[in-house]
Amino acid sequence: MELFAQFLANGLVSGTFYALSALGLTLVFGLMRLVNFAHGDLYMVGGLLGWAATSRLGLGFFSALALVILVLAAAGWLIDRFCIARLRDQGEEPGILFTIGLSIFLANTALLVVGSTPHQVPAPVPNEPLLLGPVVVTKARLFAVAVCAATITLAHLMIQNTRLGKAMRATFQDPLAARLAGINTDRIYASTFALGAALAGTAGMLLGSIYVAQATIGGLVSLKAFVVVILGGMGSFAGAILGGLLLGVAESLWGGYVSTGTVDIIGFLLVILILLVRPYGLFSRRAERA
Amino acid sequence: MKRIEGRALLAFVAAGALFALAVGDEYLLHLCVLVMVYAILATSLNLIIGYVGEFPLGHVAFFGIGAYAAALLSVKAGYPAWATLPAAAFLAAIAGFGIGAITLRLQGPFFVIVTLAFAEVLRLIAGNWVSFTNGPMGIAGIPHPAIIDLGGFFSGKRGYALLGLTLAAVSLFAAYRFVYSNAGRAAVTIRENRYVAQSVGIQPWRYALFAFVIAASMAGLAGAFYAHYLSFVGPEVFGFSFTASMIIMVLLGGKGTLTGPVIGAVAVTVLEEYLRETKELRLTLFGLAVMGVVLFAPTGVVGALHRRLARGG
Amino acid sequence: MACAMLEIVDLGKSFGGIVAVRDMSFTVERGEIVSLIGPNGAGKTTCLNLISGFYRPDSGKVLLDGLEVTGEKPFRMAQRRVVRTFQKTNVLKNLTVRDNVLAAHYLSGREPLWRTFFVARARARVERDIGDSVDGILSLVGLEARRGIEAGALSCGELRLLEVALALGAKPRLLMLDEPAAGLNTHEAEALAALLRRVRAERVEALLLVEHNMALVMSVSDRVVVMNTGEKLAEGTPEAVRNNPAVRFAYLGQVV
Repeated sequence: MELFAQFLANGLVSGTFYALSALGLTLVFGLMRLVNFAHGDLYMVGGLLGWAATSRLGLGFFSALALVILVLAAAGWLIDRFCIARLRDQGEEPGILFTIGLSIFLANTALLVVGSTPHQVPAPVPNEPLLLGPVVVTKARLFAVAVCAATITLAHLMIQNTRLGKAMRATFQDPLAARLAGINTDRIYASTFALGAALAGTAGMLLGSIYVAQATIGGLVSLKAFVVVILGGMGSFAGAILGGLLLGVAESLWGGYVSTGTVDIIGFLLVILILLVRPYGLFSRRAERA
Repeated sequence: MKRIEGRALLAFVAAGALFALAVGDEYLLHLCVLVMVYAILATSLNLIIGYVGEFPLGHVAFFGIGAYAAALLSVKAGYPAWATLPAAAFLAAIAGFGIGAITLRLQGPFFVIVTLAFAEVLRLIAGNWVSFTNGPMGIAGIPHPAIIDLGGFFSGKRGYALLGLTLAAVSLFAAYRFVYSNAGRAAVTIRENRYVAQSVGIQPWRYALFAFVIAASMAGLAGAFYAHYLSFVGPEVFGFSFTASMIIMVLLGGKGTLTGPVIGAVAVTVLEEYLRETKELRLTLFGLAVMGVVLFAPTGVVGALHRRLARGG
Repeated sequence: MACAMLEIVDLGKSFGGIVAVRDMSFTVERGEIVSLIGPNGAGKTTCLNLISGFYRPDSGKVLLDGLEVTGEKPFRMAQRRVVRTFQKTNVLKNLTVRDNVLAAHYLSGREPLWRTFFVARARARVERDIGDSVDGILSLVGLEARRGIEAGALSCGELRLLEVALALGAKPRLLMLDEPAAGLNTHEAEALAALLRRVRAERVEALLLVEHNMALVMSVSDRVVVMNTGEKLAEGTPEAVRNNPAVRFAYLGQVV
């Protein structure tokens, strides 16, 4: 029983991390209907940039994080404005292909520049264990969970309450109507992609302090993010959180009780199973017609 | 169009034969073999992208299934190559039927992701099921096809090149027959507009699955041949490197055309070997190329040619 | 055979809480052109969808030559030679005009899947016949000069003609057209009326039109069925319907 509680706690912790990792992806899909296959590589860039900023430039954790957010938001904005904007009216496929190309490009450029060695972003909180009842958690992880929760909350508030957030939601419900209402939809799309990139980068740097920042992790992060988003429904905040927690706990239990080497399998099996039964994801709102 | 494409494909096969027979250099023959493998693989991917209209990011799964099938059947069960090649293609077809039946109900990004999930599951199984697949160490010692061992003219790389050419010719023929058949037209109709397709009597399910199974079987054949050529198979056959190459070949050459994947295969093989030392640089350029093609030349080289021809040039 | 070619009996369909069609019944006899008219939202296209199998009815029956075909899938209905067109241009935009009509000839060229890979002499003859049929249809609708043009580049009037040509490619016995005159001017609509009469005479056994263009409806129909808010309001010859006070009221004094 003690073991189960530990596994559960581990799963909830990693689940929160998954939720933040997937948030940018689900937002971009929900608001822009773009499936960003480069999401994991934006995460990776955030992590490596965070590592470089702290260990090479000597910045503190939060200053470095601010830098990462800025750089990735700017990059995301530019990518959308000059590339994705040209593909918007061609349907879903060009976006998928373009972001696959972007993913390959980012991953291998990173390999060329930094090499494949794993790095770790120094956390502002030590890695000491903390006892919470029967369960052991490290302070560093608790800190990361707190930052995740804060980021998710901030993003949600931004989308719901700010003018920019409302403009985003308006644009994606009806771009033409939004334009007629005076919203510059090109800027909105660019801002949305920028937000997605910034969230990915934030997750990359934050989790780079727990796990690794490494040029090769983009692919796996993308895959896990897709699993989360499919579990939780594309475009849903709550879905990303639920999906993330579900994946985290499932992996933790599988790793604990079955085998640690094949842990990654459970996510893919879940995706296959769920898409079998619900072709649009677990919590999606789409109705089926004859 | 049909006649032009048919002639172009014949020209390719003839050129390949000439090359394989005339050239003596081992390295060039090795390239020729790779071109053949990639031509089959790219053609199979193109069947799904161009004629079903969906994007199977996990298509490499069938390549890997074919490779492992050939490896296991020949090394562990002792079957000769002339049996393992068709068996691998058949097994890949069955896998295609099963995976297609599940994944083709999905559209757009869901289809992309779930096919990727299948490929990843297979990769993990291949890498971890040590008792069956030797795990990460892979299966070595896959024997030559008997015809190679006959010696003389067909020995060594030339034999493989000619064998590969034969398999490529068969695959291209099958693709050609499919595309210009009633079934091929039905598949295109479904791709263009599902509702119109149904209103003229086409069962969408059936033709999408048919194309998918053919494509899977073709990829499996390529994988099996590859396994015999390398005499070694490891979990990397399910890996992203092949996926990236495949995508570039089809996109650059021109999706939805028969000659596009072939041209893409030649171009990519040459590029890959030219940049063999710097894998990362090659892939960086590939990434740029994919982005560039999508932005500026979405129909690829051959697609642009087709346009010009159709306009009556 | 005494039964009608198409008969729908008490057809009903709701979406969520909204009743789209209720207790709809009418027939289409062999040789007839029947028009289904009514204000927007009356449920006309829904009826077409119910008959052609794109929606499953909640209640009621669809009978083809007396045989019940309720709820059969669209491709099955097409195989029974009941073919429909769609509102808002549904053609294969990226294919040429000729390839559009060729695609519609699927049923004429149908063969078992395995035959796909084998070259057969009989096949060549089938392909030639299909080619001739395509040419015939293109010249019937008047699009033979545009055969090599991509469908997406056609004008509105030409698109309507292509829709009819496409449907004809499937060799229907019963052809159901959804607003075939949408966006056509008077001249084009008259040409369409002439085309529909020719189609009835030479190609199909009966036509069912859903239409808003009253001039076309009045000039071409043998019978008219009027729908309003999902139910049948009136039925009869064009003149009878035109003079029906309930119909005039439903249209709020507009049109005719």
